[in-house]
Amino acid sequence: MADSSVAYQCPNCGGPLEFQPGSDKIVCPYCDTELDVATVEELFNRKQERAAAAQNAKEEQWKTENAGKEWDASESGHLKAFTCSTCGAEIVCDENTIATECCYCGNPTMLPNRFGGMLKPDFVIPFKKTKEEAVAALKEFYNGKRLLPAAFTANNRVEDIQPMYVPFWLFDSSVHASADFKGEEDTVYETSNETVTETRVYQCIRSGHMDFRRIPVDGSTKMDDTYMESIEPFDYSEMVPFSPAYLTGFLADKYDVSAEDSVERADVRVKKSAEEALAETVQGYDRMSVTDSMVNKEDNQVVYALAPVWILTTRYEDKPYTFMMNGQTGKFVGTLPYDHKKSWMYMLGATAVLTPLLYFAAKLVMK
Amino acid sequence: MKKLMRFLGLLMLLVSFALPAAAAPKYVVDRAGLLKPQQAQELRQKLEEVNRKYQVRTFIVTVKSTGEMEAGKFANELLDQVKDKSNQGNMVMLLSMDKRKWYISTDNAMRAKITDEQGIKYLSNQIVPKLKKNNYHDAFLAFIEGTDKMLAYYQREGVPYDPSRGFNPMAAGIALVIAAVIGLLIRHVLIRQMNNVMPALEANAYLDKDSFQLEEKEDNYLYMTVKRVAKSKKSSSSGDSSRDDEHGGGGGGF
Repeated sequence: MADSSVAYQCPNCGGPLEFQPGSDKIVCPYCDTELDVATVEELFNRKQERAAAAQNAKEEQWKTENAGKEWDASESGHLKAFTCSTCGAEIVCDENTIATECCYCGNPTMLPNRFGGMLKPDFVIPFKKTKEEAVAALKEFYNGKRLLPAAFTANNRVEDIQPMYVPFWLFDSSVHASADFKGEEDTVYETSNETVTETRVYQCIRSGHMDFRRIPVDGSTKMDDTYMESIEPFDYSEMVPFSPAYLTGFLADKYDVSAEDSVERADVRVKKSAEEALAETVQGYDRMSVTDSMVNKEDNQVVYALAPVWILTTRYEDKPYTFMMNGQTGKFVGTLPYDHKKSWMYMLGATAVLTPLLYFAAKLVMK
Repeated sequence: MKKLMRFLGLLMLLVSFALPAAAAPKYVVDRAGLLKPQQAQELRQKLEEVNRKYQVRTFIVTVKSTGEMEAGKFANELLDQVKDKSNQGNMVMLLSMDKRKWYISTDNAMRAKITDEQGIKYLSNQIVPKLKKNNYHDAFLAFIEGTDKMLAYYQREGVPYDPSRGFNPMAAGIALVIAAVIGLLIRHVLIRQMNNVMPALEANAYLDKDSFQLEEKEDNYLYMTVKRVAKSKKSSSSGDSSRDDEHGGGGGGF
């Protein structure tokens, strides 16, 4: 009997299906969903093909070997590296810059060392926002924060905000994406004693080609990836070929995450966006969800760039709080401490004000 | 029909018989035999006291059956027979045991003091749970106490008693819970304002829209599911009603 049946999962409940060749209908023994044999076979074949393709396809590798160049001796001579004695962060700046504190941990004691070898960036996005603008943005960020402890702003050294070039890998990628979506279409009608909802379920197959340009992934473990993603996007039209001249007066971070190690973060974002791009073509349904997808990279390039960031790390009650501003667009992000006592006072105050109002409303409803 | 009229006439006679001109009327008539003599006597005294205090005439009548007549109509007929228009209001509370129906019939004077909506609803809430447990004595006591309370309120305030004007612990509890949840939400929103650092989960900003080429587009019907939801049947909240221009009140089953 084993060779006369084929095991397959029900697309509605996931239970194993069994069908007899020659019959034109299959009924799921778990949810009673009725399916055409041809439909199930088509579904099965596609999954098999996709799985085989995924297994056999040689994953296109990112061409990372061309990212970055070697420094000229004349260029590296002007650069210095600092190692923070507290957190170990390695900061690079030009010979004229003296950092007075670590922008990661706020430690004021740093000893400068001679700069050591690292890849030369391909591009740099120059700073456009000034320190005055960064300080103003930080103060604006504090505004309207009702739970901000008064002591935090009183002791905050907003003037210590520092400009830093952060290393980024910029990924170009041409992809071929394929995905299956589950589209659901409802028809509702009423009988004398029931409301009946008929839901027709469709398998929506989509595949297409698309290009992604310069997806940034920061190349520094010390930089919180979430912070870096929060200050995106950068305007690449203003990106220029790298020159050490751009580092004058600014700190610069050295990459310590290789392009190869940054690929995964870019891939996750590409896969999500490719699915969304295909999903936009699934129209006319009441609900839609992705059931299966695959993204194949066809052509990839990586470049190494420095991006401008204003950064301030300050401490409050022995915890560091970091603020960053996109040095090109001015987008400001950060995390502020909050006063727990104040937060509960707001909660209790709102409860005290709303309870009488809601009481009368509840009485009216219950009348 | 004749049988019914005879039955009703007989009951009228029984009640009327208990109303000698000079003596106090018999305010509790237990034709269904639900009360012990001492209980009936206790209720009678309490009812007399209430009637005297507010110059009204209120009766409690139990019967084994109202025949084919609805309990409400029966109570209205009974009220018309026993009411005294010189009083400040007349009311009959009837229990019919064959169909386990209760009904309170009021004339217009009493209707102004014990309203069809809030007044009868309040009395219903007091007596029906006890009737369901066959605790008739307590149910009638609750009826008398409820009547006393509402008439006293009317005498004092000049408006009919409305329980919804008083403190409602359930409404207060619900209001407090909802307000606390909203308070927590407000706290959550205020805390969220302190942090605008968000991870980027997609790369939509870096997708070259012009490069997008859809190569395959195919929609295949798979199956259909059917969900049936029974419509809720509206139930009458006020129960039976035999109200008209001359009679107020309300009733129901127990």
